[in-house]
Amino acid sequence: MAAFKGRVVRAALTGKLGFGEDRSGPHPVYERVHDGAVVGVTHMSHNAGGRDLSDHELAAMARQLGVRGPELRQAIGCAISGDDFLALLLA
Amino acid sequence: MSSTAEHLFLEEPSRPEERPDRRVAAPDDPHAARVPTHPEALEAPDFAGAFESSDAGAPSPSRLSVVVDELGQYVVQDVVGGAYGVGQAPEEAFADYWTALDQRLAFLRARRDALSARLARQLRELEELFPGR
Repeated sequence: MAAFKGRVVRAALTGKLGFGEDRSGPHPVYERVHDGAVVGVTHMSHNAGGRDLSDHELAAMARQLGVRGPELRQAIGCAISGDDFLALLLA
Repeated sequence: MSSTAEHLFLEEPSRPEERPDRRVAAPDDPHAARVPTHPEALEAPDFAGAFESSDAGAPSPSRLSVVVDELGQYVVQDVVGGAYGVGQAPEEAFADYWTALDQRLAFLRARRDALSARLARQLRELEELFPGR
């Protein structure tokens, strides 16, 4: 399975997937807000930017978001649109 | 109930022969559990149920899991799926987990009135799982 660099995951989250980023804490936190409600929150481990994220890390991020690992991977890899990923968050 | 040590045995199926020293007991954390090592297994519906605590208020060996991933990192995760920690050593991964958990609790509590139903439920579950944090 293709690995994703942390910076690629970050770019996908803050780009087409519409997450806001909060870097004020020990880990960068990514928050998706829709119609005034917080519908998804995840974080990336520190120093993740330049290294590959393992399947386990992506699966853990997916669990935080309430989606399945393959769905998060597809969203990062552009096989799932931002709107469709939002629908998964809202499901 | 099984002893904690029974729940702390780790396996590294991808490289057991190369680094037998990594087939180790986890650190001195009373809450770790042995879990499936395939990432999809972590998403299986029966994962949380398999490690549910029935002992409210008492330390449970089932609240956290630790695995060694395909990159050789230790990944610690709670049964709620609320937080996770990563490290090159078990101690580092557990420390990262507790930092991440406290950060997530603070983040969600600060937005309690705006959370979706799923996140509000997750916050409640984390607070029940880790009372006092």
